[in-house]
Amino acid sequence: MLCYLFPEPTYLIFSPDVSGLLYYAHIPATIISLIISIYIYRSDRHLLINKLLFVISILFSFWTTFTLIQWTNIHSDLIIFVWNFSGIILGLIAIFCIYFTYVFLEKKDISIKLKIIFLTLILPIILLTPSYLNLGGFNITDCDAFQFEQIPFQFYYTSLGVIAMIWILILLIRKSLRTTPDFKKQIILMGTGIELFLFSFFTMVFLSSYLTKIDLLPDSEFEIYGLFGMVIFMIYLSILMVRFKTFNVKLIATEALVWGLAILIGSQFFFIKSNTNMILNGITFVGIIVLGQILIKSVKQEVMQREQLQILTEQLFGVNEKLKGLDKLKTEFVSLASHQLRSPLTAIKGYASMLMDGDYGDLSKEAKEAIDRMYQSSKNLTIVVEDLLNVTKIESGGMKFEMAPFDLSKVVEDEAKDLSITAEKKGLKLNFESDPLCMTNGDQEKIRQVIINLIDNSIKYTKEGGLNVSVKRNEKKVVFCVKDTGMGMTQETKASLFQKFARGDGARMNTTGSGLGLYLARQIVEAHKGKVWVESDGLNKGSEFYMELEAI
Amino acid sequence: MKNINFKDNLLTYILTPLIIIVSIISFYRFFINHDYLIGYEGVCDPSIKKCFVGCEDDSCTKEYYYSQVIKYAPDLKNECGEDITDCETASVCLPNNRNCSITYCDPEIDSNICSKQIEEINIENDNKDNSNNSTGEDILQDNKIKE
Repeated sequence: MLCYLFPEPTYLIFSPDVSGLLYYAHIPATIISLIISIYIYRSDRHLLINKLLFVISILFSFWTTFTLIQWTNIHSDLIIFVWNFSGIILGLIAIFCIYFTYVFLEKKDISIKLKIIFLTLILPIILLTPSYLNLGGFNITDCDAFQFEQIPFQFYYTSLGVIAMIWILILLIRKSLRTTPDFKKQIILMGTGIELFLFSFFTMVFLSSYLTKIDLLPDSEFEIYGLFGMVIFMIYLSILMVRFKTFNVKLIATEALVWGLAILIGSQFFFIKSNTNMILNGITFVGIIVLGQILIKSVKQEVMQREQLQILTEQLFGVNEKLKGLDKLKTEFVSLASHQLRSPLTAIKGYASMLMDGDYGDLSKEAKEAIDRMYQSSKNLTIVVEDLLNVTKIESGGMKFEMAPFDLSKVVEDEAKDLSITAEKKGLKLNFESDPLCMTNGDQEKIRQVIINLIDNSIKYTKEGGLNVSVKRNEKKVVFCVKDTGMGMTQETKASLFQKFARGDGARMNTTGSGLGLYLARQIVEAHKGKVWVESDGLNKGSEFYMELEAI
Repeated sequence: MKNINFKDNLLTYILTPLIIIVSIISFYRFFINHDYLIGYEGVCDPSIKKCFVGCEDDSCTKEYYYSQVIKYAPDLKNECGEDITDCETASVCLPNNRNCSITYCDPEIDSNICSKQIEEINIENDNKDNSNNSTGEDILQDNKIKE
């Protein structure tokens, strides 16, 4: 049946008989909400919160389209059909707003129990929608159905809106009391937006409908002001997107620029008169769209790569922290174990020495040999334990240096003399040469340890030939050098030789080393602001170890 | 796995088919069966019944009289087609009409918007000064229902 007092609209909704405000309230609000929610949904389709916002926006669009049809159309069948869905749409908007708030606050889906509660609340509306308990008839004189709406049904779905407002408010307050200040700001923004939307929407819709029904208002034009609530909500969501990167939205600036340009150029079609300009504008429009898409894609790729890099950096940082913890534990363990080993080793070494000296009576030749091996082994082990202890001390910053001026050439000469006995035992010749008075400032005993390590290292890795130990001085530096005719080393070995537990190319020649001697030497020399390094022309071409300290 | 998906999408799986079913039922009810009542203003003769009085324009220079008619949409459609403007039977309830009702103005409730019947007008005219030239017939003529 036709509403016989009103003119037929064109294109379903365009009637000359209704005010411009009606279109102004419905169409921009719908377009804005749809654009923003589609944009958010497209930015990450898998994110539940984006899906929920999209659903709310679609429901709102249905509402505005249906009310526009109710306002402008004159076919009773169509109007009563769309009017019939008012309850479902409003009820679903209320429920999905609560759902949206839950997911926004907790960053996860709601429980199955809560979903069942939502279903229980909405099911009566859905099931009763096609019945006379919802809508019984239509007035073709006024072209509305207010007279035939059932108050209990209308009251039920409107009260869902009120429940949603209260429910959401409680959720927001509870969460904001136990969250970070940054998220609290987001809660305030989102909460204000959604509450304003629900309040303006449900209050205006119910009041205008009710007041029209009881003839206090001539029509329900009042309700169109409620639609602006959605625009406010969308503005708040946009602030959240830009300021807090909520909804995982990226490239806002790039996409806004591209689409802004496209709209600007596209709008020129409405006032361009000449065909040439129309074609040129068309080409520009298509070009902007295509190039814009390429730009958006490339920026998106870059953003994703940056995000991946950030994730990897964070992971690396975490692993690094974990490793530091493990390293500290290991250092503590090594320190403890070394201390525990040192005392029994001292006892073994001492008693072996006493046995060899005949303090417990004469021993057979075989027994002496066995005890000598025992003594040498315990001595080597003591060196390893000492090295380990020194490393843990240096790494934990516990090593003390007693700095004082001393003559390096004297210290080197003493040690060269002592170690020449060991060299001779291996059939090696050890030469020593030095400039007079090579004074430096440092911990004499620690530097002595370095010199022993370097000369001993050369002896160990030299099969034949000899060693030349020297100390030179220039104006600023004193330089110690031990040059051997040993097995030399490759470039790769040179690069890693002073690392912890690093072993040279001839590690098989010397199985007793801990791989800590040179590492310790470097640590000690660097603590004296000096330098230690090695030079070699390659395998079997000998090596030259240098130590450089400040001269005084 | 299926169970988990169903739980995750419980609202979608239940609400979507339900809304589709409700939409189909509603479509059938309103577009096919026209199963609803139609309310409108019917023709009313104030000489016989107490009619509601309406204004034809905002300044209310011209009045018209009407009754409130409610008819079952399929009956009205059968009698008048889509448009009731020129349909004489629209303002009366026929014997085969279902849920048909015509409401006239009740002076006890709506005295200010009810028409006056011819007897009341005559009594008023007798009481008035003869300076008024209008006759009962003229008033009746003026009071004819305007569509």
